[in-house]
Amino acid sequence: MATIRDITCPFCSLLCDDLSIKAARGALRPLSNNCRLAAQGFAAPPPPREANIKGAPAPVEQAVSAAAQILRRSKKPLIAGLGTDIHGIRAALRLAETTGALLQHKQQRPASHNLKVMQARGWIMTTLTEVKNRADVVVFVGDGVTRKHPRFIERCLNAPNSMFLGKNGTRKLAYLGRPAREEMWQFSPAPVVVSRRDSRRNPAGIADNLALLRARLRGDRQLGRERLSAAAERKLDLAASMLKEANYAVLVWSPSALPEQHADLIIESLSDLLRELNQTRRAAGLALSGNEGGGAFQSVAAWQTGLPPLNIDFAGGYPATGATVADRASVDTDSLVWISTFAADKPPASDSPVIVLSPHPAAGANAEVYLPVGTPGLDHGGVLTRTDSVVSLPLKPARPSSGDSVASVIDRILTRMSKPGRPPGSANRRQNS
Amino acid sequence: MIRLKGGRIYDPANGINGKVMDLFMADGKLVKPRKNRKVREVIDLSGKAVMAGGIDPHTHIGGGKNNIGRLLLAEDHHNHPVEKGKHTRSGTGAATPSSFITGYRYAEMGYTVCFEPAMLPVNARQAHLEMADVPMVDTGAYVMLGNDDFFLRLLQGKKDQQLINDYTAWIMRASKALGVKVVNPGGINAFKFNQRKLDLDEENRHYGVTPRQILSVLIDALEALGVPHPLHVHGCNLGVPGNWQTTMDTIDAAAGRPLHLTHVQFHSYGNEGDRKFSSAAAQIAEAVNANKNVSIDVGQLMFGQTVTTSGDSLGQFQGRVHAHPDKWVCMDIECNEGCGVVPFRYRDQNFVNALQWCIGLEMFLLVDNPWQVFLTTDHPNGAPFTSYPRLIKLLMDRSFRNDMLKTIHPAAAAATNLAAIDREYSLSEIAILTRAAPARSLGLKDFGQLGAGATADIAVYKPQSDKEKMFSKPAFVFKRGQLVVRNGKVCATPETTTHLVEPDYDRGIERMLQRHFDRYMTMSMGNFKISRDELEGYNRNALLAHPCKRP
Repeated sequence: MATIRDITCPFCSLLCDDLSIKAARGALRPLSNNCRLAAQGFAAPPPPREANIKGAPAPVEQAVSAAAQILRRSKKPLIAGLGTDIHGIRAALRLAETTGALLQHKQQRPASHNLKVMQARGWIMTTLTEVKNRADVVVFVGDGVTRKHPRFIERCLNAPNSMFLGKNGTRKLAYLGRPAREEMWQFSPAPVVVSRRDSRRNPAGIADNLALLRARLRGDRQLGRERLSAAAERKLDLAASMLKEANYAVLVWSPSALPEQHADLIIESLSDLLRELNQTRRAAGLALSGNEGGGAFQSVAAWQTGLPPLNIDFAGGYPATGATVADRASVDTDSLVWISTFAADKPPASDSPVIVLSPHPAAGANAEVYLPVGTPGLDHGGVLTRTDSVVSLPLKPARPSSGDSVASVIDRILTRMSKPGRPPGSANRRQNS
Repeated sequence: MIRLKGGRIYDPANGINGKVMDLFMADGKLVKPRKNRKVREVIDLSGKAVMAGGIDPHTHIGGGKNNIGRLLLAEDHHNHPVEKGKHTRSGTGAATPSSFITGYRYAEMGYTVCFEPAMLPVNARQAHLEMADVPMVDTGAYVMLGNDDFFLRLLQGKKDQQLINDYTAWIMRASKALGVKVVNPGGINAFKFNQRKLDLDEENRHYGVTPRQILSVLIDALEALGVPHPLHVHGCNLGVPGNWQTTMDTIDAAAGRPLHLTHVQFHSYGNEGDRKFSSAAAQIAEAVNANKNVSIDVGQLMFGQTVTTSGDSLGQFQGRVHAHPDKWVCMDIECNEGCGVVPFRYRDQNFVNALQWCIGLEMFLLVDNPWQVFLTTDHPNGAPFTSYPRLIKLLMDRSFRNDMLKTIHPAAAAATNLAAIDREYSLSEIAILTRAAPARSLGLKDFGQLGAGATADIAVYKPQSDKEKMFSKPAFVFKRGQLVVRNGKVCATPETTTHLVEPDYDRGIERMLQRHFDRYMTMSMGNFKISRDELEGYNRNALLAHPCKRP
């Protein structure tokens, strides 16, 4: 049993690198600087040593050969999930280029809302350290904005030191939407909450409030007055005056914490609000997104393919953006490679042969081929990109493990595909290839 | 040993100007022929022009802002797909090509080494990862310094120069850099405090520190550390009419110490005439001629759609009004630096753009000593690097230049002295601009030249009267002795390396930094540093650390 310090947590895109972890016979338990996602993630057992082929245990190299065989026959693989680190993403892109595959990250739907606005209009953004040291006004937009990034408030808003706010410097907070209970008990001071009912029941509420807030900042206090109670109006005025007086205001949102059908509109409105504020004062946005390697995929995809990380399709021998952002497991694809190293989730239902790369055998229970892989930062090293797309952090193994990396397994599959023949350890068995 | 037979050699670093002679390569190096070394292959280069591999000292090929640029220029990528080939990977893009395509296109012009000039310390890991996916060419980077709050607090606290030196060395080693660049000194930081401009002698509102002070301590730091490349300066007031005076003052601020002024075309603007925009290239060139301590790269503008990607968040924010298409991204980054990404479409019928084009060319032609000028377009900011062959033709072919001059906005053509300049660059001078001078400035002793012992990075061109054609399609390119390009097409993917320097410093600085990281940063100091092992693991087989000069 040992305590390991300065562990980087890969289970959300804040990539906190201050965790202490207790390790006992492969089981990991965070001791300090813990959160819900870390506790759950580190508790996962190490990957098994054996693979599965059609549900039966098999040596890994045989499963590698079986996967290579499926992919060699496949005219159009779908490589999905993509829950892995930068090296795993690089390997998945190699595989996609070789096989003419379509790539879909499991978080691509929420990611698409941000990307659409960024590509169409741009924006002015900031990063975690700037928020911690500079943000004297922080406005959250959405419902439970930090729920998938549990330590954001603790690390960026409640940190004991900041360069420009002084010790325990006060920030003013506002919330357009419904704060989660776990957020409310962390906030200090309490935020001005501008919310009219649950946005599940009133999905237009956030977009509407944002429009009214922007009107007030422009000096238009009449817009929407008939719809507002006196209390709601007072809160909007308060939020507007906070933004007007801020030295450095930060708008924080998470695309997955916005009502789906209004997310594009809200983020577009945030982009416009940031432009308006910066005419005369300083403000910037921060989007909490990119969990499960979403940030790594966005970075690597952009530099290797030049494209946004949405439906990248190698069918033509070059990368192109596929037509739809719908998650499609079997629309026109004839095999599925599911990669998920940070969660125990199963691949989507598919009629075609499925290859699963996961630390969790249960995730591959119904797959044609299950290949055990480790989790970057637990079983082997790696690199992940943080929510602000600027900082990348190295991951170190936290326990002795036999877990292969996604990159190593994919490279072996690629080698097998280019050199079909007998896999090692199966000298007497003929392979169909 | 391979014998390269009968080529016409242009090797200005060794004083060879078009002499017909043989070269010999063994184990990735150029060697002297010896009797006991067997020639296993002879490659006939008779009638060909032979130069060292090209070196681009300023091209944005690694780091987050390039990705933002790619995402903003969606059409550029949609319209320019590149299929995978027998030796090559796929990609997209013309103005901001994806990483593999960047490497292939550079090699296909005869370039073998490229440097990212604006690596943010906090983004260094990503920059190196991206450059590991730029094949064919060696890479390296200059790390940005001068706007981060730790540094400005040192200056505000009037700390000893020795601490600045230690911090500079620490940042260079932590980020694995070859040089240091300062971008809008102090201005990126001032923008975070809502200052909208910062002149050379204007104080940062919070720190009371001026850009002149920042320049001065950084120049001293690099000299004290013995870093070969002088401070790489993107000055104050980029793009602002009348900024030539700032540039003159910046040269003055160096007070004879080594200084590299980058993309100086963007910093040589007057504010005269009806349109309050004029060329001050002659004044800047005269100052460069008078100050042998100064080198420049031009950042030539060429016409077409591109995207400007810069660390200068303040300058780019002010330039947002010119965005075409109308979208832009600015970022404040980690109490460290910033970035700004603004698409531009430079048009020859736009007065300002046309005059910018003239100013860049004037700069090339009016600086007397080619060793003080490096050929760049500040890729992709002035134009994509793929326009180099055309730029070389503009420099070598006066009649072509004058023909082009007749096609641009007439008021711009009337406002330049370009037509009166007779100068035509020779092949040897082009070899200085594109290889020998950058190599010497960067301290790459074994590059940019063809002497025995040099790395066998070699570009072989077929002489043609159309210099654009000549430089677009080398007959052969060798990388470390390996044939990698034949008739302008990639035929092999060589091993490449990362260039860096590792200056010494007093480890005591880490105590101060540890406290700073613990209190204010959102990543640990240990994770901020990139180790040699980590960098080698990215794809690079070896790192090439160049020596610092002994003080």
